[in-house]
Amino acid sequence: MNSEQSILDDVVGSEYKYGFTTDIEQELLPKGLSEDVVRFISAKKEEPEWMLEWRLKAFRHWQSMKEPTWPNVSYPKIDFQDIIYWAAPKKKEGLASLDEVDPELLATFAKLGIPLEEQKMLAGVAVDVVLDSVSVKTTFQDKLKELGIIFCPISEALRDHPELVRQYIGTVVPPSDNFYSALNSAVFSDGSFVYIPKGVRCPIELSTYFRINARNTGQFERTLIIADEGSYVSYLEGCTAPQRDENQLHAAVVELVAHTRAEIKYSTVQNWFPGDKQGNGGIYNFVTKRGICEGAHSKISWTQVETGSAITWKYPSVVLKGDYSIGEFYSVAVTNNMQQADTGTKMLHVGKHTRSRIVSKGISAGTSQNSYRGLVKVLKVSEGARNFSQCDSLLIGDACGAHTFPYLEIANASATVEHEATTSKIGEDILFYCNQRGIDTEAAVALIVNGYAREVLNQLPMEFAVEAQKLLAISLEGSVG
Amino acid sequence: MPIEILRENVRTAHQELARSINGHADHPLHQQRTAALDAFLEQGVPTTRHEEWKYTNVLPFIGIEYAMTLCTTCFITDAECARTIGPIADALESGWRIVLINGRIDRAHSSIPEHVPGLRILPLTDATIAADARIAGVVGSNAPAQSHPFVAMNLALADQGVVIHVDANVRLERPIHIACIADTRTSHRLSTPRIVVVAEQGSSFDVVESHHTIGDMTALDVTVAEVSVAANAHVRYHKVIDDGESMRHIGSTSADVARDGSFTAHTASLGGAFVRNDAAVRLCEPSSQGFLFGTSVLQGHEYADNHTTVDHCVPHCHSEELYKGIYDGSSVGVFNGKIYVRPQAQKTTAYQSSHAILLSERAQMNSKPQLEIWADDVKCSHGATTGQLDEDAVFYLQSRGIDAAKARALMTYAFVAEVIERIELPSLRQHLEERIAEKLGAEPFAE
Repeated sequence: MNSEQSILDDVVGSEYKYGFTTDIEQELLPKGLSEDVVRFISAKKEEPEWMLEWRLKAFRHWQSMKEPTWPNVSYPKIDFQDIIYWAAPKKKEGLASLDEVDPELLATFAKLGIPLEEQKMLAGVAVDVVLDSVSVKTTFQDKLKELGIIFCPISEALRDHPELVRQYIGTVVPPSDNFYSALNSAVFSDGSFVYIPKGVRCPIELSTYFRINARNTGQFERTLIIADEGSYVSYLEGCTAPQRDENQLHAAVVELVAHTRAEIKYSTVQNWFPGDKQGNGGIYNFVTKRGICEGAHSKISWTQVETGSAITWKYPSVVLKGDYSIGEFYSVAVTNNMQQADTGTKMLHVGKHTRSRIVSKGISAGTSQNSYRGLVKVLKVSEGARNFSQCDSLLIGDACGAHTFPYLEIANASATVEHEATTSKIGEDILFYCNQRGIDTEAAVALIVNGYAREVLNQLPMEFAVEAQKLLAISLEGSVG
Repeated sequence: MPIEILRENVRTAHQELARSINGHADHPLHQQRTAALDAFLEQGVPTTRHEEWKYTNVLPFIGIEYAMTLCTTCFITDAECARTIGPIADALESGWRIVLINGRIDRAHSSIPEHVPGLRILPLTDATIAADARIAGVVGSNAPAQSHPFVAMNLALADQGVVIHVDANVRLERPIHIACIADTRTSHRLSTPRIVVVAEQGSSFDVVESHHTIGDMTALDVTVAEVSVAANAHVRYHKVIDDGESMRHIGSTSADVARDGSFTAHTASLGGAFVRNDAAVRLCEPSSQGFLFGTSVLQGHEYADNHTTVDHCVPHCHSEELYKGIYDGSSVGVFNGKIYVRPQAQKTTAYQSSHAILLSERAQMNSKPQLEIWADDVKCSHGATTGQLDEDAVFYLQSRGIDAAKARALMTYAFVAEVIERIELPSLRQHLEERIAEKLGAEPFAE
């Protein structure tokens, strides 16, 4: 019992290690949201006229919408006029090399362990770094260009490839989809844009690192990934934020489009500041992520490791439109202290012989609440659809909660849908068995939790798997080795 | 608009009920009715925008001008009664039978046991409530009006329901059969029977609630059963919904279980245009147990929505749920199961599973198995599947000389048999086996 208590104490005592702030010159817009703010952002980004119209339409629609109250989370009402919608490091004209980047900024990313500098490119990851509202640096662009791959900030894509952006933006997540997607569509400031041409297999992992730095700001980024016929891309996303005692809003939209025989693998390691152990501060992570398997035999796979944020509210989804397309969702969501997570996925089977697989592992500790919410919907026209869902919850400590809300809507008799879920704590008998073999309780807990999450961690690209395992260790320090 | 019609209908019926009780408006039961009416009007009629009614739309049939007052012309002959409830009544061989016609006790066709030691069967009236504080304490508490708009509506119009009281340590050898018949030959009827079951310490018995229809005008039946299970008592509550095509049934069965007691609810949905049934069990004291079972065998345009709630309030309780359904034609099934494990309810074991077979391209199934757990030392699981018959198994049976149709019927029957086998009342089990086999077009299978 004692050791269990000390493990729990360690868990509660663990600190957020990315909680520093960077002191760089910032350009901020005053708090508040109005049409003028939308116009300002659009002008700042030197966007075409149609984009501004698109944003304004989304903004007007947003004004008519109500904040959703159905998620199983509770938080004080957000005052959307009390948020800064634009914050950026002061722009220096024409950054040619890294030498011209603010050294403070470079130090920030060095602290985060992101290989921004040229020599670190050997690490083999192309990185787009978004600080608050703007993308500050994208690496490896030239090399990718040779293959015809476009990987750049979305603001740049709007300038250089407006026809591509216009063709796809808002087609997977329309601005009117939900409250936060409408807000994002109106005020999104930056994000990544990826286009993989026909038949190209992207040779390196593409990655975006998001960081909220400025105080009182909200981050609204938008990511759009298009994989043309027969292409493949693996994309990673990481996020951190400084430790502050107020709540900050992060409302992103991610859209994926996979054409015939294309495959997109999207991995997230989300480590926004989760708030302190009394529940002060932390990021509200209200994100809309959706992919569409447009063509036959296409595949979209979401992998997420969620350890941060005061509140997580996201459901990476796949619309399985092409025949024989595949959707996957692998998730580990860890909540500790006062964190709340309501996360899961939606698999919409439209095409024939579509398959989906959902593996969700929730770990709750402290006084946190962790919910899985998922929808598997098989339309009448979807012949021979197949789904398997598994959502397990692990409870550490007696004050936390684990909840599952799966929805299975089947309108075709040829579908086979399976769902199973379990909730339990780490069995004393299992711990005892490990003890008996000479493994102390702490190492045994580590072993069990790692094994529990392995199925999901295995899906992550190598570079991220290491980071994710470390994150799990920090988030549940003491119970994970 | 339909919502307004129903509200007005209920309000009027409540006023007429108030007039009929001649100045007893201050009576506790009537005060409950009035409070329930307010609760009903406040909650409003659910639409598919309500999470609990997401798949189930009541709007198509609530806008009808239902007749709710006492039906003076409703009279069924012995032959009609025998034809309607005969099969199940004969199968049960109980002899203890309460027949409700449009929600009111019909003494002519009932055979209410009057001199069985420890058993009292009473009408739910002001007098019954006034005479017995224990019964009064149960009415409206297990199925509170705030929980559900139709439960509130039922209480607002509760008149002449049935109260069953079983004394401590009495074990009844025969099941108590409550047969609800809706007579819809002359008018659209809305009936609101309320059944109150009180099981005192150490008692043990079976109740069978069955639903039947005569006539083919659209009718609505809102039945609420409240069961209080005292320490070490065991109540098995079987509900058989075998209505006609004109019937819409909205039912609720809820039980509170005390220490070492157990409550088993089994719901068989075999007929009716629309069935919504809420089964709930609250485990209030340690070592209590709850079992919820359900079978749905639907065809044509039938609709069955099973909602279950198991609330683990205290440590060391156990619950099991098993729901199985077979959906043919354009039928639609819904399963929504909730398990709550409260923060202090450690050492809970709770298992839930729901399985469905879709036999036709037009059939649909929506499942929502839900776990909400606030305690860590628990073992909880749920599983839900939707699929079709295993063609390999059908082929195997064919290769053994059983023709395809029969093989399919056999497989389908075997699928639901897992639930039927859990029924501890042999006579009812046999009746359901026959009835399901008949509906599936299979021959009855011998035990």
